[in-house]
Amino acid sequence: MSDALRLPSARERLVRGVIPENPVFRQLIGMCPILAVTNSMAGAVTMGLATLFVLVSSNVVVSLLRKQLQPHLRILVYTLTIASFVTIADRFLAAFLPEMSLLLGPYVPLIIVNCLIISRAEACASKQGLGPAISDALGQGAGFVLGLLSLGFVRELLGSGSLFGVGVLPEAWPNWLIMVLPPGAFLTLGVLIALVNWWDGRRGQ
Amino acid sequence: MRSWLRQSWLVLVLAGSLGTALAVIEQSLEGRIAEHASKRLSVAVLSVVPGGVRSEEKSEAERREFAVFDEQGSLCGRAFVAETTGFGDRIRLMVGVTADGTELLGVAVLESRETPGLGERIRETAFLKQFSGRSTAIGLQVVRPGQTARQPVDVISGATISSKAVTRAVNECIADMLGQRAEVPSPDGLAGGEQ
Repeated sequence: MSDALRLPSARERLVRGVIPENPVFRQLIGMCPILAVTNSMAGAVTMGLATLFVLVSSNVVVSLLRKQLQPHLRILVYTLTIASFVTIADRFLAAFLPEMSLLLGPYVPLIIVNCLIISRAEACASKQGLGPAISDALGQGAGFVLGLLSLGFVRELLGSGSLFGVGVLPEAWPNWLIMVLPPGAFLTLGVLIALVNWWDGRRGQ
Repeated sequence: MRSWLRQSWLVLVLAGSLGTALAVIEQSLEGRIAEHASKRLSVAVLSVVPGGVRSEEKSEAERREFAVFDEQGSLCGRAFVAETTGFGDRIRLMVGVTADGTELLGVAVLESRETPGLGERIRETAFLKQFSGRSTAIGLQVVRPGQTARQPVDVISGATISSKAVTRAVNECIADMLGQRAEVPSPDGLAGGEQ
């Protein structure tokens, strides 16, 4: 097989997802939770881990079934798998982290339509074995958690003067209300993407 | 028929097995989830009726209603779930009144998704404590600084709609309790000032 057609190895899959193909800063997918639940670190972490769980589970199932997939029914199989694991994550949150479940509200069920998950099923799990599929899910999931955390860090710090609900900035800090509101999410995302691009451009020279 | 099955067996098997798994998980967790919800509710009931230690839901009531008892076991208040539409989404409140229904004891927010930093301030004690000790005979009215009313509730600046929504829900709840649903007092301030 020529080098261009070779699929990435498990190790490459893992590394790529975190920084070089980061879902948030490089692929710009899964924007809905990125913008919606990053006004606190706790919400961002929970959302990130729930997404990671769904991503790993769906990649495992899709990879195991890849030889049986009918081309025209594959999307149906992905959706069915993803929806089931999201429901499981949602119910477990409601049962064991009720406060967090209330805080995240509809955004946990909405993981179903996070295109990060379906894109990994299509790009990797439906073509490769269990090893690469799992490391791909872990890499992309870690990249997504990293994206959520970096937005959550900036927004909670500037918007509420705290991290994980613990005040870290002095009392005199005037909380930037806009950072907690939706515009703060767009501003932070824009600035962070610009930083990542700038850093990348400098390295390339 | 054969080709139909050959193509779709995977989807059918997957739907069946994942569906079963979900049913099992739902079965085993639903008790726990319901427990959290009822615990949240009873904490809210006791928070709006000072001195209450135990509450009991009245099953026949049209609006969710709770009887609250004090340490001696005697009725010390009643609590109702009130609901209205705010600026962002539904607002659900717990409204506590004295046992004879003449005085408001307290209001707590059960559920709201108003704008953080503006409408969500309806959850702050500074706003909610205004409802405690008010008479149920006269409707509450939201007022701006400088306006007056017989039972004024100070508006949260930048959140007029949310402030009025809470006040309206409380007025409606009281009207319901007194059986005067047809004449709910408006939450709008009457006297002077710009609108």
